[in-house]
Amino acid sequence: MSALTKIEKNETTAYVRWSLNERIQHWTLAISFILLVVTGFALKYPESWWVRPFAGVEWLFNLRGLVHRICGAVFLGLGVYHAFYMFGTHRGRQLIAAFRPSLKDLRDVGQNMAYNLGLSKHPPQFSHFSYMEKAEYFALIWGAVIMGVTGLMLWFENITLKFFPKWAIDLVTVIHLYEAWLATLAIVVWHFYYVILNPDVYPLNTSMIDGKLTEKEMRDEYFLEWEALQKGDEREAEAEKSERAE
Amino acid sequence: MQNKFNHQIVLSRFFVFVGVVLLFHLPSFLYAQDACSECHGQSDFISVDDDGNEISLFVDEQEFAKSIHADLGCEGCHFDAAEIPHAETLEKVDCGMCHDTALAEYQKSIHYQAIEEGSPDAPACADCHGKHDIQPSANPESRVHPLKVAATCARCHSDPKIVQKYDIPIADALAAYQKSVHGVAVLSEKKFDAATCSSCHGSHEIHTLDDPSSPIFWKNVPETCGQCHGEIYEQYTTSVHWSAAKKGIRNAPVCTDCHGEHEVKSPQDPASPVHPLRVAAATCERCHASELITGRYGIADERVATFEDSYHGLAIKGGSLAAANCASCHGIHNILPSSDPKSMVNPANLAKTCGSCHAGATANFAKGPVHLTTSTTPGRVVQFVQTFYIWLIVIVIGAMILHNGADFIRRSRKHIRKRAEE
Repeated sequence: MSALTKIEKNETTAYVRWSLNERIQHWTLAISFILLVVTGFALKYPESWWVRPFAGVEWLFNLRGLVHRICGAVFLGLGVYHAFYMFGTHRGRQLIAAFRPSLKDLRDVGQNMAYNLGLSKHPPQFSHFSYMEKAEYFALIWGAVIMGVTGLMLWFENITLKFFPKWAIDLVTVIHLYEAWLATLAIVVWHFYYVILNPDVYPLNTSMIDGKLTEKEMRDEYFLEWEALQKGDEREAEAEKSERAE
Repeated sequence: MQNKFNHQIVLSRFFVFVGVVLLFHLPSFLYAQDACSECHGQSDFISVDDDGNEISLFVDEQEFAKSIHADLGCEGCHFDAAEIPHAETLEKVDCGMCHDTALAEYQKSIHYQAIEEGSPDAPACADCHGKHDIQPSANPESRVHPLKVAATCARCHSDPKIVQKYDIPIADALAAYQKSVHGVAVLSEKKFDAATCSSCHGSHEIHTLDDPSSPIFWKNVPETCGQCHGEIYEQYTTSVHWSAAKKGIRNAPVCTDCHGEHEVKSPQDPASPVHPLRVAAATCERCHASELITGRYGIADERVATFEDSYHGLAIKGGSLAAANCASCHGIHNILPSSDPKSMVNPANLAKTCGSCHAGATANFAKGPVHLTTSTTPGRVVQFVQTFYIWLIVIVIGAMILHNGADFIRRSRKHIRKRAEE
């Protein structure tokens, strides 16, 4: 069962990797994430060069907080929607299956290191998600849970303080800050590398815009899935035909 | 019998009084001012002193006619000038003949002392009050009226030459005063009961800063300000700052240490060092973040640093007037140590203090330290988590950089090779 749709149009083959729904989810996440980073660090680092010109202006400070909370709510709302999407739809369950970590992922890590260091001539071959993508997805979920829980505790500090002593707020503040740093740096170093800086896709991997991968991209990056598709092509074509006939 | 006797005394005293008044004014009645003005009414009437300097002897009659002393006539003050031609030397005008209290006060002042020591610059009566144009201080024309007194003092105290010559520590108090809440109230808003120079420094009996009898001697400052700010003075005298100051601890703040003096601003003025957005960094920090002072008196340290790290501190830096500053929790003039049951930050009062912003604040607010220093267990726990995270970030992001760096080099080489082949 593949999480891909192959389309052939005007003699070029493309693979739909991301549905429109998923792309909207991604960009909702991306925009709220970036705004959360900017408005959050603007609170923590009032003396940095990019905050200094705005520091001390009360309405801007209040707007900063408002935007942070709106984006936090959007981020959390998206998280809840995403959980329903993943568990509640056929497509979501396909993705869950594709995200399932396996021992092969561990072997792929070793293989990729060896290949990148010139110790092996064979790159690892990936199926629908590489170990890099799986790691990022789980890191995102982990980060979203931590940031969501700590963020809500800080947002509703008076409720938090009904159940916890004041220093719990201090602890949660520190966690919220450093988890934010971890998430931001991970996005910049890990995600932006694969979708922007990566010499094979620079200046941008556009699959999250049009949702598509080219034949070459499929073969280079997701060889196992591509191979499986080729093998199953005829069979699927038959199935498609019969589906259409119906 | 008794009544009649008294009557006689009253009558005789009355006649003596009338006689004295007549006698006193007689010269002016006889000569009128015409006799004097014949010479002194000439604008070019001068004498030359021993050094050859010309001294104008001109008196503007019209100006004098408007002065409070007009009725006294010339001889009211220049009593030995009735005789014409005048004697070789005439007595200096002695204001103390009438104003004996003011004179007695003045003679205790630093100004009089300077004159005694031979200073040619120190002011006598006329230097501040004027001569023939003299007006009562309530008259806006007077040089010592609230509107003008600052400028009058500034003739010397903002004169760079005088400031340098006498080593006056504050070079231009006038400029600062004009921008102060007091100066603006008096000069622009015409609120003449607001403080002028003399409200704080005194008028005739001016002393220097180091003179314990001066109203601006540091220990006297609260009382001086309290003349107008009475309620605040009452609060301040219950504070830990005053109980230290009155023992002679100069590090303890009096009014001016937090508010400034000549330049004092309203706390609502963003330029004030006690404005909610500035009080921590511009005022409290000067002592409570000073190792010397916290160490010397055993005051809790890291108060300001921990505040600035907290949400309250960050929100203040961001410009939020809603966030708590030092005074929001500790009080303003009535600051007391947390051990004092009356202190706003005494554990028993914390729920109430925090509750003024955090509706429904519970006893949890009082649990654990508010200022999270590493000398407390929760502080150490939080610091441990912080250290853990920093290492986690260094290791995880470091590994990512190595992993992707190798990937980048491999892919780049592939591209370079490909380009070379083309």
